[in-house]
Amino acid sequence: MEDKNKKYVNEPWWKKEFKDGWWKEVSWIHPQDTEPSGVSLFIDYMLDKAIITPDAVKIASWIPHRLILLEIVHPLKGTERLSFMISPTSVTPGIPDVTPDVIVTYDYYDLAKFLIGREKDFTMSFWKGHSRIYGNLTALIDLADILEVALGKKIDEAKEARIKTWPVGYP
Amino acid sequence: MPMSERRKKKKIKEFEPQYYPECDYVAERRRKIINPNRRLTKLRHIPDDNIISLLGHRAPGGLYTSIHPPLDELMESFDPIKELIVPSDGAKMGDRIRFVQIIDSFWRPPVAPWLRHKFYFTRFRGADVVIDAERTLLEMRERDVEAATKLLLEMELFDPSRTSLKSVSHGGYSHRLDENELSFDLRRRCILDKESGHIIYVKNMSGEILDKPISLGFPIADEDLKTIDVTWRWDSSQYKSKSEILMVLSRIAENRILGGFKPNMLNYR
Amino acid sequence: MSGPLKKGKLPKELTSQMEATAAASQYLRQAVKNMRDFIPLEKQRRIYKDLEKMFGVDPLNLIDEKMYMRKGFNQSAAIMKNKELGRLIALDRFIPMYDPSVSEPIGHQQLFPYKISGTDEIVSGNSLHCFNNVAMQQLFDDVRRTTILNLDVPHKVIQVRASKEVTPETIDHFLKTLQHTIAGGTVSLDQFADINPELTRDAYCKIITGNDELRELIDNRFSIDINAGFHKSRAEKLKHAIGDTIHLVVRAPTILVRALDNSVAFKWAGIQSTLAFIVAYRLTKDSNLADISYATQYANTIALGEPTWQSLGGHYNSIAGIPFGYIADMCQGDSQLPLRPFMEITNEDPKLSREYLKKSIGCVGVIAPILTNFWDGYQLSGGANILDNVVIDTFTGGIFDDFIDIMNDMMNKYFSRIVKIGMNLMPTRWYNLRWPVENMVNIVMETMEKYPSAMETLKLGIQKMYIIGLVAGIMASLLSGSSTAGLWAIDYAISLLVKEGWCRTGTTGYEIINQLGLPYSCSLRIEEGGLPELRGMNNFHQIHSIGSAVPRIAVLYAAALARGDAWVSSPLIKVVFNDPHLSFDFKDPISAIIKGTKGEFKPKGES
Repeated sequence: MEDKNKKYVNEPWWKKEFKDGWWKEVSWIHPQDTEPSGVSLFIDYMLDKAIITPDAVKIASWIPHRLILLEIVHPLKGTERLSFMISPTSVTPGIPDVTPDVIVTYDYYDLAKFLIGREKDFTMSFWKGHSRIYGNLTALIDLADILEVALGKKIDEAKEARIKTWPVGYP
Repeated sequence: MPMSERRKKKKIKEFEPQYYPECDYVAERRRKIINPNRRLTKLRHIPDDNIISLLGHRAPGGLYTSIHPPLDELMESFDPIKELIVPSDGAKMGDRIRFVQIIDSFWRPPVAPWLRHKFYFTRFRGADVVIDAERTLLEMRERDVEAATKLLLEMELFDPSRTSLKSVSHGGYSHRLDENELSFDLRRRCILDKESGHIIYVKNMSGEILDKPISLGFPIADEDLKTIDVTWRWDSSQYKSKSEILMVLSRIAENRILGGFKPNMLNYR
Repeated sequence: MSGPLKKGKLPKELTSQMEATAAASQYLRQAVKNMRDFIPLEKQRRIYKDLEKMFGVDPLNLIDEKMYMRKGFNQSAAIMKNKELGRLIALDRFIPMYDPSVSEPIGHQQLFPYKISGTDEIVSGNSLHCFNNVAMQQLFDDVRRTTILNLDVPHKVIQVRASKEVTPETIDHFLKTLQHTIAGGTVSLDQFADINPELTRDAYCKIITGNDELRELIDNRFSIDINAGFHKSRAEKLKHAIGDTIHLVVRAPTILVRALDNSVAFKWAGIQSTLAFIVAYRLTKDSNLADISYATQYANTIALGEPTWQSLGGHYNSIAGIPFGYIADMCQGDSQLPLRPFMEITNEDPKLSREYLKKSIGCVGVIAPILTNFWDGYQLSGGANILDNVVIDTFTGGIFDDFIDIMNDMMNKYFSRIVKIGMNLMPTRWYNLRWPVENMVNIVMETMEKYPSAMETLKLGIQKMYIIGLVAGIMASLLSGSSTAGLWAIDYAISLLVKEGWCRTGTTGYEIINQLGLPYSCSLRIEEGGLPELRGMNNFHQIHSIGSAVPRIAVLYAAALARGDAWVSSPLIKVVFNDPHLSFDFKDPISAIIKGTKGEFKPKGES
């Protein structure tokens, strides 16, 4: 039996960092009353931020064809799915028709933290064990490069951060 | 619609095994090979006598050696299992157990050992299989093994340049290819006849010289071998990008680990 | 005949499937074609350079142009020399002897020499056989002639029961007596003949204690100096773990284990110490003797290896009885490097972390395969000369080293980023460790597909699985610091990942232990496994598989390296093999092996 008097000690990390109404302070999120869904958050970011950054478009053009299924897991609301294609770039809600190169399971607040610029490293949540992937790690790093360059990282830095055997454009 | 009528309308679909995950051509090849209901394509015709010579278990036209009288002549005690299972031709006649051993090269063969093993068990009866990194040994009654070999050599599972019949000295599957792009054979059982372009077997499976050479037809072109490849390769379709199969494998592994440690944990993941 | 080679075309119904699926993701094939653009990148890899030296041609070439044009056994000078020797011996004794012409035809395949990774040495395969290479035998002998006794219990018995005083002077005297008895000298009037000291030149004993003050009181010739043998950070931890206890390390003479059995070394240590006690402390042979004898020989004695099942015939100190953790502790390559968690090092400097990997995993990669080969390859199977060619894959051809290079690079660029948020290890969960391992194994598989010459070097399935298991296990353990996670990775890679990817594994039933290994990996029941550090080759499901012990030893070392631990399972074993007087160099084993291939290695036991 569960002890009802027991206090919830381990408060999740995102409750401290994301106060109610956090999305209203971010310029590129379309104004709405409730917390944006993971898909709309990502699509808003891609349209208003990534696509208008010339460097992000440039690095995306070097990357070979990728099909990425992004599973955004909200701790309270459940999972949303989003297919993201690179070369040619497209973002579609839902699952793709063919097997994706990589299935990325990402925590909603980890994603939000990155997209609004509080965390500079897109892949950090994978290395520390919050998120997980099935499939090609190179595809994930390609995605990270595009998103990070859109956030202001330089292309040379992105090139340097990759391992020798997987340069930019490596399938 | 009342429930009673709806029940009548509802048809229970028969269970269809899916055989293999993933949705690209490699997985499709694997599904085709494993699924016993799918027909294979015949690529070449080899006369029965040639197959017997290649196997080298008996002379063409010779009698089968039997190890017990035909089952019809035997007085056996009653056993319901014997009624349920129909014996194969070889078992019926009391043939001895013989084998065929096929080596698949590492370099784009039409089928690979563990897949071959699944193929044997879904399509053949009365078979015993041994699998190594390179070889798949199929043991059956002599009559049955000859029938199986005919199927194996004539259908799309055999490419004379990358698949070979070897019983002894079966090494060489991961060696580099020779100048004619044939896989390496320690006893050089087959050669490429440059006049006809056919692969000619000059020795049988055990490395004994044949009375007359046996042609197994053209080696398949490299481009075509790529299209019927059964493994994901770095330069055709990459294994690391096959997220569906990796998901299935991960699930199997996780269930095994948790099941071995504390089966109850499987319910509360 | 002229013109290009004719090849058959397949019917449309067969080839159409690929086109159909390619149309579904129409860009995929183009993307994969780009792989060829990255071939120049391959030429910078260690594996390319090493294989090019071994084969003398471009290692990426799938076609072997000289195939069927080689001269069989004549290619190898070593085999031809053996043939001549065999002929001379046959003439001498009138019975036929060694003759390679009776063997299965080698079919003009290339008998390539092996290049030792990280050096420029190119040696023949024959010289890496454990019977031809004296250094390998010395390694084997040095391990099985070692026994560790505890001196605290006998000292207590001598003080209480025999009323004798134990002081540093008496301990010195006892140790001096013991050096005499271990070498086969007589001390009691009952004995009547000594062994020629030339034969037992390598027998000696030393004490180990974690108490520096105590060590200074005793003659320093008789003790292993932890401060000198290890880096300060390691020495402190080791000394703290060993404490004030005095342990005695006895190295029985090599001739003993050679002429008799490894279990004799264990008994020799006990009986010679008891004799030395009697003489050094002038004990009467009264009823106290039974107590002292028990206290010395059995009370707190550590045999490296426990006896195996009876049917396998391994007694005390046999390799099968040695826990994997002990074998890992024997490796001393990184003793002089400062102790830090691996993630911190690799985050700071990739060259330094490569040095750590070279000295730790590189050292395990030499010692563990050779030791386990003596059991798996000879004592268990009877000796089929198969394993000798499997075990050397970790230090020849640059193949394994190349994967360690990539692993180091990956750790440096990606995984070590967690150091910034104060973590040194990834969480030990299946979902967090599976995908790094999958990607690392995929790199190995892709490399082997790209390099036909690597495939030819690792020509047996077991050789490939051996390397893949090692790489997968080390990756998981380095990330998580958990040896259990390493076991998951080894078993997952071999039994599922590669088996489904290539549809091949090792020899018949090779992956059975890996199929069983996944459910047994977390089990503490003794018949299913136990703690990874305390498992050994005496486990029923691990014993019969060729080369399967080595990955299981390497993951233990990798896990300790990731955690920043000074030892794997026993601080005592770590110190025992850090002894400059040992004949085999446990700090730099590969140099000793190279000396062995050239005949320059001088074993101490056989003078």
